[in-house]
Amino acid sequence: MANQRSQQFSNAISRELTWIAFSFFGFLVLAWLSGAWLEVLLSYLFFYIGRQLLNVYWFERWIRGVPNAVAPTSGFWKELCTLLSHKQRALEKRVDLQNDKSEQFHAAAMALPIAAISLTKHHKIEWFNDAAQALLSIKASDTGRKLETLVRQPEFIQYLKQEAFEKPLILDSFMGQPRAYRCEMFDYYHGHRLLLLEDVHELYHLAQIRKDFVANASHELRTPLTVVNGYLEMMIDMPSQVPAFWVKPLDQMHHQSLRMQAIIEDLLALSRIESDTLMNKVKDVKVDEILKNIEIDIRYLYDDDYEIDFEVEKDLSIKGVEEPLKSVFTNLISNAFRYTLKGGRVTVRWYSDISGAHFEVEDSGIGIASEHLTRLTERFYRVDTARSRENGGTGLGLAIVKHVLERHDSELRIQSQIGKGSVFGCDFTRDNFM
Amino acid sequence: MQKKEFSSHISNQLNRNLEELFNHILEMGGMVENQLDMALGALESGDVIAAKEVVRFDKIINQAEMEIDRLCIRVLARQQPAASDLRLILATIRIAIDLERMGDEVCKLAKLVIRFHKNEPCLCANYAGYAELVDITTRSREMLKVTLNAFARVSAEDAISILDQEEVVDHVYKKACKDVTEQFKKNSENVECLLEVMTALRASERLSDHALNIMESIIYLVQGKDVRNMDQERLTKFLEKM
Repeated sequence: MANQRSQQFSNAISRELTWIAFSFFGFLVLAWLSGAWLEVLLSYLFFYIGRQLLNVYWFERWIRGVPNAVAPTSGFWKELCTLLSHKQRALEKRVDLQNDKSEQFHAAAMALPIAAISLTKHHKIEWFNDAAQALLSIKASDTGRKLETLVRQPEFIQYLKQEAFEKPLILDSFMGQPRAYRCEMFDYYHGHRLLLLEDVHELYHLAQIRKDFVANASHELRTPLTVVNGYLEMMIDMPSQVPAFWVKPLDQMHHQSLRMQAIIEDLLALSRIESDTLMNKVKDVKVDEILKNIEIDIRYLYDDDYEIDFEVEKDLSIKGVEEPLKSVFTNLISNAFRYTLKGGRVTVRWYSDISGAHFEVEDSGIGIASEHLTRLTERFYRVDTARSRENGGTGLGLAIVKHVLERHDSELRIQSQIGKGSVFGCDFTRDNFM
Repeated sequence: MQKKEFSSHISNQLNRNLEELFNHILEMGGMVENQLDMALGALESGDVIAAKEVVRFDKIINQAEMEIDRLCIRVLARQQPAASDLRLILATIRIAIDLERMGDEVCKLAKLVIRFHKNEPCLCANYAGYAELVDITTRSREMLKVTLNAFARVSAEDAISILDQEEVVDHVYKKACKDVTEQFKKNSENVECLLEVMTALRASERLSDHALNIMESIIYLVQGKDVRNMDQERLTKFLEKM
């Protein structure tokens, strides 16, 4: 519509000109009849000015919203008023739409099952949803108060004070309830902050139960197994006492019980790694020396059957925990031999460049199909079940590797091609250097 | 007094100091609440490690009290506040003392758990007065929460509910005392344990008294009227008028 108007020149001016033409014609007739030309022309001028002033007065009353005020209806004033009211209506429509939208957002925030509280930079409460109201027992009148004054748990206050919110805070109990809560803070929209509080009791508890169960069960199984193993060894050591028929079964039993022991040891190692206390013992780990020791063992075991290469950079250490890192290297290297046929080649590399330190084990083994790669670090996941049991693997080696590397801000990187061999490696960033 | 007044002074420094004082008190209150929660858990489950943690925590609370005193002295010496600001300082000092005492009483509760564990890993829950002990402590914890919230909101609206709770606690305490005295008469074997329970009962009852004291300080802060010496009737009337 606006487009149409602008096309036909100016509506306001044409209206005004029409009005002037008609009224002036009326006055001309009057002047012609009376013959007093000058007086009539002057009075027309006064009439015109008076009309404009009157219209200005009406217009002002109308735009101010004085009750019963009517918009001016003649000349360009009429056009002006129409345009204005059009514009006004469009604006009102937009405001309504925006209002509706913001109401909708508000309702959505209210309906969230997670407690959400919006805070200013100084942790003053701006708004909160129903879940937050129920959880923190805050009232609508509390907006503008500091959150710390109403939620006074020391850990929580500490979390708000430290101003570093990358990690969520897990509270074992909150507001006097013995339930685990996850508390997370985000910066959003020009210095405002959003605090989310979620009840994670079930999840947290479940993970805890699983960890405890695995740790306890493996611990309890260890003792009986040691006894069984001991007697089996004793029987094997005395072949004269054992009927010939039982020699082979005994051997098998011994083999399997050793395997079981290895699995239990690995399970215990995993649960130790998962517990948070592990990273307390961070120190300088001399990887080159660890690898030297491993090399001695490996050469003793495999030197006749394999081509072995150790390319180790001297005096290259990283920050970490020694025992778990050692098990990472041992696991990766022994895997390489386990899955490489005799006569193959295994290369171990430990080197550094601009991005950090790198560990790599390359073999010319059987390789892994790509569909298995992503699942390789799962517990007890096996590409070929029968084969790996034969080789004496526990199914937990790569799971341990993955967890240890996670604790060292690194991850396992695997490249593999069936029939050609694989490269297992991990990278330590510069931050991990001494 | 309204909390808005913190930003109403001409001196920005005074605003900041008063606000800091305000936050410190509530932070300290949070510590006592946390300590009381831990002690309650230890009482219910007989967890000695938690009980020892409670005793250790008391030192931090004592330090918080000293910090608050230091802040009060600084404001008094440098800015010489008057009227509601002066009342805030006075109330703050009083509340800090009450909170510190509460911390001590909570320690006594924790020590009961530790001592019971040392003597014999018995089920202390079977002793006379133990259920009442837990009940009084839970009520005191709720009272403390309500009073601290009242302080945070600078409103004395909940004063009446605190008074009611205090009456209930007194009632429960009397009944528990009677039970324990009867047990004293009946068997002479468990005298030591019963004495411990008695001490703890007294401590938990003191907890609720301190909570009430804090509420009185808040009324003083909000209304400017000292209600400590009022008898029950006049106090109720005054609170209803508020």
